Amino acid sequence: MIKFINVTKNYGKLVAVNNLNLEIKRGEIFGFLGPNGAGKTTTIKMLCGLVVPTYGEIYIDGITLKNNPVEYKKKFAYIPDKPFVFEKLRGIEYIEFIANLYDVDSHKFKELFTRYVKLFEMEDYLNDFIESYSHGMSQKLLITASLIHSPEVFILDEPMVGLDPKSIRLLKEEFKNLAEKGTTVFMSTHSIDIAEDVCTTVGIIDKGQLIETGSLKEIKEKNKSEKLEEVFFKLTEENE
Amino acid sequence: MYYKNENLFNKNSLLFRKNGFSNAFLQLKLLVGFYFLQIKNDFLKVNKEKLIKTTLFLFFAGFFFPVVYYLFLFIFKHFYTAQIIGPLLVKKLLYTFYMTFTIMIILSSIVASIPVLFFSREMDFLFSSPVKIEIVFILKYIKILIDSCWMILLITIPIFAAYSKVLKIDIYQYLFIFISHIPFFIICVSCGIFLTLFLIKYFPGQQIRNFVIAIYGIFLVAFFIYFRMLEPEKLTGADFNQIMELVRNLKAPDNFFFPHSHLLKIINNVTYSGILSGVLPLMLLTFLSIIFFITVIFVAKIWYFDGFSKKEIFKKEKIVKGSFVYKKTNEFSVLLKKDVKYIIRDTTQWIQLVFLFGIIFLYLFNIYKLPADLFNLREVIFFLNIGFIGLVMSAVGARLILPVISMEGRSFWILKTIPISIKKYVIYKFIIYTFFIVTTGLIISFLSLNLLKTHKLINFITIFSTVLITFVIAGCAIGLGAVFADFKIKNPEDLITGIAGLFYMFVTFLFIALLLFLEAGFVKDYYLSKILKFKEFHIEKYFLNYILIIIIAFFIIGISMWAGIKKLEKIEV
Repeated sequence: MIKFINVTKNYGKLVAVNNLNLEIKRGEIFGFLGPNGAGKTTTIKMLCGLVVPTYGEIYIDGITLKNNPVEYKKKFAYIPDKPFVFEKLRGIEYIEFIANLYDVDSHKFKELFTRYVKLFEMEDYLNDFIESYSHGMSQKLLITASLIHSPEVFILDEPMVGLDPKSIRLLKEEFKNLAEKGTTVFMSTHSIDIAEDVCTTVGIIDKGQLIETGSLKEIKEKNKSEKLEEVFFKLTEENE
Repeated sequence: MYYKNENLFNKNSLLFRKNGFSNAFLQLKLLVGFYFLQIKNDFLKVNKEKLIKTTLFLFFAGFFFPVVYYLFLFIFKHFYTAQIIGPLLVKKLLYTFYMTFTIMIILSSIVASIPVLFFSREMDFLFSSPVKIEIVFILKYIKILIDSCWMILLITIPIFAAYSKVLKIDIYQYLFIFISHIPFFIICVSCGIFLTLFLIKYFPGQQIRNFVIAIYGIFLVAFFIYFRMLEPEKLTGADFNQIMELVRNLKAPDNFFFPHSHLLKIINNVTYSGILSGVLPLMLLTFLSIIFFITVIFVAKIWYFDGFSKKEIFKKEKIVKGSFVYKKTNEFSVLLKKDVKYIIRDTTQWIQLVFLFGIIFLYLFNIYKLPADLFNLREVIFFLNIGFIGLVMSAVGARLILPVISMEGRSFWILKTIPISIKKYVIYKFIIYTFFIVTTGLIISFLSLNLLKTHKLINFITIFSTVLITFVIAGCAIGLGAVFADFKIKNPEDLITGIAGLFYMFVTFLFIALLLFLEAGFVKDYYLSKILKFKEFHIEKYFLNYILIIIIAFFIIGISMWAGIKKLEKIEV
């Protein structure tokens, strides 16, 4: 579903992402792990078209941003680590804005809106201006608006930051539900526990280089360890 | 070593020394040092864009200072040479200006102090660090003082240079007057900050700021309209009664409680009796400024942190069941709906509309008040009217259209990831704002043509030219606004007064000049044929000129939009 082919991003002399080759299949929950400054956000931004790769190609369902930008963008929803949203809109207006842009029909809107607004307990906040939202509230609004247009790929950068424990649990369950229905989830996280809990496949990036990838089982077996945390520290320290 | 300033981490660090005045002073020194370090780092970070910005800024400053100087030289000469009461007129004029400056500084210090005192990112750090509230406040006070007064301080350089020339004062008197502004600024800024600290106790910070910005805009426009309606041009050859009427209209309250009264006393004393006579009023003004400064620090000690902790209180509004109905609309309507809501809700946008109204009013007033002796030159004037409309619309475009893409702000990532191509987004903006600016341009054209009462053909040419100019303005403003998009700015002024504004003004002015150049022959021949009945006028002779103008217009629009689209496609957010 997602394919990175020889993707490199340079900022002057700094190589933020170095020759990344990665493939994520439909219905996978992919956890992108790495220390601070490893290149996770740059990779995610390249995947969403917010940063242009210096070299290489990125495909979502066989489409590149360059060849068919609109079709490419229809495939995914993105939740950034810093949820800046049009702050002069009300929550409800933002959801309506996104639903219209993704051509969601009224019937589907009603069904998903009711489900997700209730799930993330947003009812009391939807009529407020977004400028009054906390980080976690903005995050929940973005997630709700994204899920209403049923993306094929759900891209999230540190999605759990700012969320309360209940919302984290609900989101993790929702990831599993979505994956079962064929949605691919690509998320970066600092939390190894979360990755171990929800992800079916994992990639570890350090200093712009993908140093390990595969299913949780494969990675643990390959590195002769029971815990993903041990694998993570072993690999990142080896890469020092 | 990562950090050179060991004072911070040393056991004997400034932050850990015993309390007292010297400790407070050292804390302030340390924090000011941090700010200077940031400014120094920013200054040393040289890149191409910064170099271009600095060059253009210097170029602009080199242009701006002489313009202000000659404008005020003209104004002061005009007033000073009026029969009998010239010096009184200059004095009255200065009172009017300084009354305006006082209000402007107080209002702009409120506007500046809300983000600086309450919304800067480092506030949490500063309040949680072992630094006294007064020290944090003084640090912020210095920033507000600089932010709100630097422009007025700069503008006084050419104004008083012109004043010195007309009233023949020497360089020492000039410097004395210049320095006397500092206590005046401190008093005004202290008043502004006091008002902010008071208002923030009862109202949300952002709302106060937006409200004050709107008041500020209305005040500025009202001042220009007021000054224009005085019709100072009547001074030329005016009789005593007319001059006295102008003096009466130049109302500016003179009272001990107004800070500008003290400053103007210094200016008058220094101008007419020498520096020594200004020393005592300066000492009084300085003493007053110290009292204001100390008072506002004491007030801040009580109110600042309290205000900081409740800077934003939002009203909760629940959705009434069944009140929301999802309406499916097309992309164009969705984007339009969002933009309209933003314009209505963001009061910072209203100020632009106030300026728009002010500019149009002043222009039409000037046409209406066209001196009778110029009426013989009506033909020339309504040809130039095309250019003037163009200039007015260009200013409107700079204020209202140029910053629209940058004003999407940090939410621009949404527009980059939604399934709408950047090309479509830019074209959408172009269509919306073209409609707006062409309509506004046509309203001004119709009104000014109605006032000038011109020939039908010239009416047509004016309307045709207005449509073409406003199209170019919309294309340039959207295209160049995208080329120079800066999603970090919070204030549209930052873009208008930067390279984007300069480049946009240059291109639109160039187009207006070209249009007038290509139309000049046509208009000249038309009038000659009207005046000298035997000279024939062949409209078809000028088709080529008009085709050329249309090609140039489309070329400018096309290039600007293309460059804007390419830039937004590649921009990294």
